Amino acid sequence: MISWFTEPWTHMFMLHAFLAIILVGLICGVIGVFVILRGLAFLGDALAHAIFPGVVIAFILGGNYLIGALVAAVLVSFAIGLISQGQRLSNDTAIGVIFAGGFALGVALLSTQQSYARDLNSFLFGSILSVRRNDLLLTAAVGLVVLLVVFWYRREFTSIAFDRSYAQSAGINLWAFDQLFLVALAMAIVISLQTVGNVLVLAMLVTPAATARMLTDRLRVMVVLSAAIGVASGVCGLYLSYYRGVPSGAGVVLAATGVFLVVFLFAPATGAITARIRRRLHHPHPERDQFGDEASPA
Amino acid sequence: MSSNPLQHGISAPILATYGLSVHYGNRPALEDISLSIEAGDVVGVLGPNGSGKSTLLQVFAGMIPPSHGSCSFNGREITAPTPGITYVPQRAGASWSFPISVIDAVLLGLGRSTPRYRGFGGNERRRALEALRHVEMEQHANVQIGALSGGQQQRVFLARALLSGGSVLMLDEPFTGVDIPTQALFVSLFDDLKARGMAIVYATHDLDQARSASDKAVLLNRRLIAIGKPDEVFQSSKLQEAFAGNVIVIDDSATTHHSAATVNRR
Repeated sequence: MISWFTEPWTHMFMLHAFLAIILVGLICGVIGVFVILRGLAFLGDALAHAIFPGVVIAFILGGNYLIGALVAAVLVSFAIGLISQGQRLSNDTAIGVIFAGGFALGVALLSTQQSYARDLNSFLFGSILSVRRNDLLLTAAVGLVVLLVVFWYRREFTSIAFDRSYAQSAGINLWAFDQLFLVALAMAIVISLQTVGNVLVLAMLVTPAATARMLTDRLRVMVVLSAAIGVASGVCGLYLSYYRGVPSGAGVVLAATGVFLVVFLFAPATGAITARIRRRLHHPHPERDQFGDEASPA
Repeated sequence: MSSNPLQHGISAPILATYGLSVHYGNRPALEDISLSIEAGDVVGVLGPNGSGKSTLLQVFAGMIPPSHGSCSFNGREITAPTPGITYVPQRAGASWSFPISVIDAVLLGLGRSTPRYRGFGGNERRRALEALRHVEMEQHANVQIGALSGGQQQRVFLARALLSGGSVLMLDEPFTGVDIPTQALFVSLFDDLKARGMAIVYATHDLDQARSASDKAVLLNRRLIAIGKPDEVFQSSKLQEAFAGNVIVIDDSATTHHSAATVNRR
């Protein structure tokens, strides 16, 4: 039984994969909390697609694709900010334009390459077996920057997410902090591409944080829970991938979604089924209440 | 209220605008506003929807730059948010499902005054509880903010503003949608703050509230219609002008007070 758990770790490629997914689960779990509290799920998805041309250009030039993606992400986040500065176009419209345009550019660039189909597949769904030592180091370094930014500016991000007008009146530069958040979010997405892929990275940002939100009303606890759920889902997903041959990205996201569903149904305070059971316990015979001698407590 | 010596022009105004105009694109929100507010004033700003009440408050808070003219705090031009002026936005703009307790929401009022490497300590929490005590919300310190009533949420906003300090309080519709005990608490709190020399400026739709809680009223409809003592400002001709004729004035000669109801005409 123990060997069932330890066996995958004996392979160097799986060790790299586990370390990578632990980092990704942790970092996406933390920044994902602010993504869902600010209602930016669409932006997360869009950023993941819009940085595609950066990845492809790096690939064609033979450079590190994480760096290419990062450069593209910064450009895209500034472009979204610029387009939505005007009064006529809303933020989500700007995101939609850049998202589709960027992705199409990436596909067009990649189609010039011989190994088009295979490369597109690994970008869309991740290729966790190809994680090397250098990729891990870059992931750890970029992830550390993201975590430091979120920690250092936690009061600003919290104040903006809770009450934007007050944050502005307190002297917080909304534009600068929005851009900083976009760049940090893009960095988190970029380091997730290799492990979970472009299509499913959104789940790493949204699902653990959404699960954590159902379990607590405290921001600090939510951040810790979200990171823990992200890491646990990542590890479980890799086991699923290793033993059942499921693509790693799909395995990780299925594990995260499974945790979400369990919490959604059985969370102590908010679960759909637990709430029903609780009501039943307090009002065992609701149909009799209206005819009972004593009014039941509300 | 009129015994306040500061109201007789002995000292320089704490807030002043001169020829202030604000435009959103081509649309004017405020035009040629010149007014002054002294320390210890409680000022109600009234006008119909879209008359520029919130814009005026946000210009003072340093959130919106004037298109023309100037706006000053203690004689210094306001170009950005200043620590001396604390703004309390409308309740509707906040995310009430946010996972934060009452005391943590109040602590946001301390902003960036505490070192970043550590959380808020015992001293800061004591100050936050003290601010909550002023609004009679101390017992709700650990409650999730979304579980509060509208009046309680507004009290938390006020506690956050008290904690952040400053000598001017700008409140955008603090009486809207709050219960009567909370309204009474705010009026008495305004008196306390005024006694400490603070200036309080608030936007409201309620003429009676403005009459009972303010030393001074400002009647706006993009332009400044009137400024002065509430009973002087709320004359039927001025109200008619501010509300562009969409107003019914019921004159109660026994009290010399006017009640006004606005009528939407389409």
